Amino acid sequence: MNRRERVLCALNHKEPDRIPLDLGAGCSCKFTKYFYVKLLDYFGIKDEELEMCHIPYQLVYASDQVLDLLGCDVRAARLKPIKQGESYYAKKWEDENSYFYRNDWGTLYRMPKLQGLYYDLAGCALGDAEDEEDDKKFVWPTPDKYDKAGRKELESYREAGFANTISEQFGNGFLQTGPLIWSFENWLAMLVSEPERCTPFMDKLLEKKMEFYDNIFDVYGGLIDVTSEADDFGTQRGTFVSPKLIREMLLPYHKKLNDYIKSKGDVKITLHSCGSVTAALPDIIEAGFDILNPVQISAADMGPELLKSRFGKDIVFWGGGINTQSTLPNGTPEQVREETKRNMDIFGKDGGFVFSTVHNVQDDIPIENFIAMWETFQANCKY
Amino acid sequence: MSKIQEISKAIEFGKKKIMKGLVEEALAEGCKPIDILNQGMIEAMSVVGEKFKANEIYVPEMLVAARAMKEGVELLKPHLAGDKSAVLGKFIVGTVEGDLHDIGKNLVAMMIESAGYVVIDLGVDVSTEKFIEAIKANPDCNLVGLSALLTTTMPSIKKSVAAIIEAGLKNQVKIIVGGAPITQEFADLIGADAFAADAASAAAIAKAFVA
Repeated sequence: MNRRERVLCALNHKEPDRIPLDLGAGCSCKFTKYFYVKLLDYFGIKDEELEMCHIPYQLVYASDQVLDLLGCDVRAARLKPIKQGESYYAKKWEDENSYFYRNDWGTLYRMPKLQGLYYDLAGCALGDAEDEEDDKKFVWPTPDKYDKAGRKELESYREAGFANTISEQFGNGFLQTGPLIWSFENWLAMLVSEPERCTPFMDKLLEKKMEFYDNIFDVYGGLIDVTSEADDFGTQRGTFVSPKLIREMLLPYHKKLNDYIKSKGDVKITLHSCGSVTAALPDIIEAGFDILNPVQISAADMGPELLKSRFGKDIVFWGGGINTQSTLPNGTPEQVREETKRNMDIFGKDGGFVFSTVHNVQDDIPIENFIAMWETFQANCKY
Repeated sequence: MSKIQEISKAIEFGKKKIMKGLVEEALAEGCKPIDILNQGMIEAMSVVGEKFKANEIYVPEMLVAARAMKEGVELLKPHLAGDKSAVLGKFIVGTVEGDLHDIGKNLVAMMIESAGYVVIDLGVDVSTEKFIEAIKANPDCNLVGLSALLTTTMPSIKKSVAAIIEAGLKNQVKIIVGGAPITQEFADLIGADAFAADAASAAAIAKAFVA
């Protein structure tokens, strides 16, 4: 079987020849800039120019050469967006201490110059909005269209037998786009105390997301195997908002969007959600998600045995290979090997598992730990 | 239901808009401001904190309750002037250098303020030097909190705690640490006095320190 067949087999809850691998390509399975440099050094690759993929998280596109060395079964499309008009909000600048950039949504990001590894949220378009009148001042960005020239890349990956993924989406999720416009505290408070301000926003967001997928499938239709919508429903301790709110207010939008995406093409849909989401997982499955990523096994009630036994037949786990909050950054290589093998044994049974780290590989991962994980995968991935 | 109980319910359910009316009515009825604060407000936030800890309510409900509490306390302040019996101490808190995440830290600040501390929130990306400066500038500060969300900024917590100890300030302050990747083990390793997994636990620890 080729790599794509291997991935699709696992996504259909059957055991392929071996557990599929995603290191460096799919949603939240990528490398930060500083880690990638260590990986290039490990492989003795000297002249590769870094290609940035995501500015806030400082993620890179790993080259095909590196992905092949790792044995990655998945490829991520480098979509070629064509902007529709001037952005009302976008701007970049710096001062003595920080770099700033404001994106099309009016969300301001800042990265400290000293010890800065990431851009983080620093301001929002409607941070001071008091009421619906103020909310109406928000200038919506327009979904990009895409250059048909980008099809060639996905065609060549398809021909070479890779599974094609896209991680891009319009805005963030139905829970998590609001915070980028109003600030976390304002949006979260609005959800419970002024939901009438939230609903019109989410209605419009759904409409624009559908337009985004129209544009994506117009150009890349037939070449995409996996899509992804990020919407962080979880924290370290439990869900961010009540499971009831997730079920009644947020997932109906996701369901409509998922149904729409599936009407456009035969794809599997990922929910990227950090944190502890177990309490909401039955509803997440009901809303039409096929895959959960990154599978934060160190969060409450997210242990591999619990997840696989309760939900393994109904959702694919894409991630969850190794704990990136403690073992991978701070453990010994031996601890990394033990945990990697254990998680593979649990998640890999009966398919429904694509191996990756829990979320992107960051700067604080020692290269010897990453290699210990990777070697353990290679030694134990065959069914 | 007494007026104080109504205030308590208004806080528990985040009814910020009716707080002004309720506080004015309570004062007009002759309720002592300190009783309104302790029984109507601090107690209510304590209940909110316990519900949050038990996953009966979530971040949005905590936030609206804290906003209602803040509104109530602001309304009471002129009537409480000079009454220091509610003050347990001063809490300096911040998210450490290199980290800009603050939802958890803000919840901790709200809960510890509700528990009776005066709070100085240094914000995010707070350097070691800034923590030290703030502690020295506030000799009545008896508790310091350090927060981080990222594994990559945990070293900043370690560095700041070490610097506070080296500056001889551990006689003055207790140190509490928290954030998603933080564990009791990490707190013990770096010499912090306590680790809190959530805002309610942080408030309970803060109260216990001065009991």
